[in-house]
Amino acid sequence: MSTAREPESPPSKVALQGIRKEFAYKGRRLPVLDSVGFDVQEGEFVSIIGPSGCGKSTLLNIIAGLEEPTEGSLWLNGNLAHRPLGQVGYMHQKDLLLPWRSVLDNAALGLEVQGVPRAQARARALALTERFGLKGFEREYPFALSGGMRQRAAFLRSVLTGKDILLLDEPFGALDALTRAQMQEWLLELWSAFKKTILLVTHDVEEALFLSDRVHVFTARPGRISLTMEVGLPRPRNHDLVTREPFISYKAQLLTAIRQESLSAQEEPWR
Amino acid sequence: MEVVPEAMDGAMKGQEARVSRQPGGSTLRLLRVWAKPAIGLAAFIGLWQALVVVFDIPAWKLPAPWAIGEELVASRALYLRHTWATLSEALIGFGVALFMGVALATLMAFSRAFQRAAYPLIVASQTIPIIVISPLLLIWVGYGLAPKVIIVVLITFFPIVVNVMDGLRSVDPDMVKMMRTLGAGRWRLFTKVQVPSALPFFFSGTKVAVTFSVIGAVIGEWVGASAGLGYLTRMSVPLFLTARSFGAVVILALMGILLFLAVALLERLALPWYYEARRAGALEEEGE
Repeated sequence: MSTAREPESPPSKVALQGIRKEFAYKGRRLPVLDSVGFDVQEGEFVSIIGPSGCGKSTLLNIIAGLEEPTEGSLWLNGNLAHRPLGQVGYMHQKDLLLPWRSVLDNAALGLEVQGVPRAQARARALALTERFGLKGFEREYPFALSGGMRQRAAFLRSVLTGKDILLLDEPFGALDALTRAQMQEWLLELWSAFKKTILLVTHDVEEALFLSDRVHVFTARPGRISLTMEVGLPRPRNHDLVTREPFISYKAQLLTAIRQESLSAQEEPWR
Repeated sequence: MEVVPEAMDGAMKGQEARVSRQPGGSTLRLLRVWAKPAIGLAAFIGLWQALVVVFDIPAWKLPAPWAIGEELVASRALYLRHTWATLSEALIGFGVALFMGVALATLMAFSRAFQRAAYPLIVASQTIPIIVISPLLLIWVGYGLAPKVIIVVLITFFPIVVNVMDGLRSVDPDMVKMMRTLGAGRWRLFTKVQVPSALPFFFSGTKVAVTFSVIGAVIGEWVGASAGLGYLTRMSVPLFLTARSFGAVVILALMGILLFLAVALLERLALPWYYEARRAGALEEEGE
């Protein structure tokens, strides 16, 4: 496996090469990811879509350092990364706010873990509550907030840690359609304002297209990239886009690819 | 068309807090909460009094509630002395159990090996018939405070250990993952996630334990003692001072209730998030 890279070009924020992951399952080795490789450049928004069980979340776990690949290598910021816990921001479908902490203290949690004194961490969180639509709710406990607000508080927690790579695992999956559309536009604003590099996992084709520069379609287990689509839609984007060309053709193309995948998946013995 | 700012605005406005706190009405609520148990208790006492009067039951067999009340007032100095003895045995034992229980549970939550080694012994300790070992305790540690405290500890540390350990282990695995991706190590995970999420469990165990501590003290006194409400009961019955022993039982019941309420109050003060969330949940279910 060659690790040589062009010395002139800036290193990719995230680079994956030949990632394979197997789990032991009832005495068998069950492959969930196979020869997955792609790059994400600085400031890009890249999505992964695929049928459920295609190893999308496992891939994010590997990039976040929660799991190790069976084979293959991972680079972050041009450096070979081995279990890079704490190096990237990771957002889950669940907001995972701590119920005993106020919104503000939840947002400050990442900073506290990094060793920033509590008062200072709170002050930095407070400075951003307006931008995250949490103004006036800083002292509330999470249970008192709507799903969208909770998810924004979780975003604030990730953003405050200062990690410039954000992994998002279906972050809007639990929200209603209207809130989700608003959150997607809000996320795009956030992305460009904070210059983050984002890798999003979703099974919502429209969401992937609307948000991303590039979409990777994964096959059913074991997950492989079956199709990569560059999304040439102009930015900034808003939701008017989704009912017009060329969005519709992009969407049709992606849906066809996914449908073929799920058909072939039914023949697989795993599912 | 400026859809983005509009949508942003909509996102902010449309998502107001779901729960508004209920204003006022706290006196009325208190009355509603306490009215039913008070009526129940009054009915019970009234029936008892009536039975004793109607069937003319002699006081040495079953004293009337009124007679017990009279005895409580008349012998208040006696009761006070014995109450103090029992209360201190119960509280010292409970304090030791609290410390031991939390320490054991923490060790078990940190080390699976220790848990495997210790848990069977902890469970086995609960199968020891207290009645059997209490005379032995007298031989080993004598007649003083020690045997009573040991029995209280033996009875009360168990609910604390089990609950705290379950609490420390009850953490959502996704929350653990989240903390690790934030860069948190074992210690930060413990202090920032495990301990707070174990607190409701801790208080559940403690409420059971503090109530049992009174029973433990009485059992300890029953075997051999020179003071305490258990001792007083035991001495009064053979002398046909039935009202006196009933008076001691009434005080024991009150002691148990008050200790329980004290822990419940502490719990409420320590876990505002827990109670607010539960009340909000109840309100939502009622459709308010």
